[in-house]
Amino acid sequence: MQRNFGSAGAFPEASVPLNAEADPDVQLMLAVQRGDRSAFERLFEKHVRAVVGFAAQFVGTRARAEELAQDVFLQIYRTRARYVPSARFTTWLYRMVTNACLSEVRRADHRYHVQAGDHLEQHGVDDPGSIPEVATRSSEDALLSQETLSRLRVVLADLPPQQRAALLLARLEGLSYDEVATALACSVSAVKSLIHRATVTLRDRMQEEQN
Amino acid sequence: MSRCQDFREDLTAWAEGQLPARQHERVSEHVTHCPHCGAEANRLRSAIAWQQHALRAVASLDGVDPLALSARLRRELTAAANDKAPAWSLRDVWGTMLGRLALAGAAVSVAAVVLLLAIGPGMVLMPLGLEAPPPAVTQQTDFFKDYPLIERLDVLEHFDTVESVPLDDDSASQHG
Repeated sequence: MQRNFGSAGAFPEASVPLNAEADPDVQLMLAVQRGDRSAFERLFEKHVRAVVGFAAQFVGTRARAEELAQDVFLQIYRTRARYVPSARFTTWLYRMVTNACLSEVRRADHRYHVQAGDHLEQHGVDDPGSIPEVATRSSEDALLSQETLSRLRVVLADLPPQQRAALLLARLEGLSYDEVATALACSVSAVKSLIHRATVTLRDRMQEEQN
Repeated sequence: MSRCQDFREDLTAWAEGQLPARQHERVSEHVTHCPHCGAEANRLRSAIAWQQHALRAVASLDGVDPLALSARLRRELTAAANDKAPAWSLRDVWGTMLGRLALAGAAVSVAAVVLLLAIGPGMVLMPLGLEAPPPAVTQQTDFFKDYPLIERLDVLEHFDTVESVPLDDDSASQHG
């Protein structure tokens, strides 16, 4: 029996070098390099929310994630003279963010288990009995129960940090496998394996929890 | 079965369209003909779609205020700029050294001028042979035959090592 799974838009065999300078964020970063502080503030305001959301999956608390995001942007500003636009700005940014997150995890031997206390700290809810609200971006998000999201946080936190980083970079930030490889400083083949294992683990653990 | 295992780790990348074209075609062919891998590919597609959606919800945080964070960052940048040590370049160091040498030279010159004014130029210039002795010395050479020695002792009178001046026995006995 033949099935038609459709084409998923495969990458070309020979990867075409990305014209990084066509990226508007790269242009902003080049302006930062020339001393344009307002360009830096625009980059910060555009990306900081996503960076905090990403970092929170590694450091556990939103306060720490905000500090980490600021550290990364401070580092970007301080090292602006050495910036070379060899990739999309997002790829470069998340390389720094991922390094910071993985360093934090390694340094503190951090095990981020999402518990009620963590939720309360993240969302500033005083009533321990209440379930913190998670921001919803669309009506689709509302279909995800808070319980499901809590379980997903726990399962995600149990993933090895490299798998978690690869999965989040691909699924959350929309980076290609090539870009994830650049961000994690590893091969595309390794990224393929990391994301596959993370995807399967997340799927199976969520199914187990449901059953 | 072993063939399925060869493709298993590629299924997620295949479902996301992240394989090179040739590899993508190979996996497509296998998945089309293998019910087991076809079913797994379908499950992975569903999982990927759900995860994309759910992870966005997990990572979205209420109350992240870019403007507030930006203000904090601005303060940090200003503080960092104030604390920052000056960036030393070889040129700066060289320039600074030359400046300091020039300053030291000027100070020495001023001190020398003050000294000359205080003790009188003759006290310094005559022993060095840069100023002629008084006329009496040149006119009465026998009387002033030890004039250079007297001048030298006069200059050195404030030193503790006068005995280091080369004195022969005759001149020492005459002065004694």
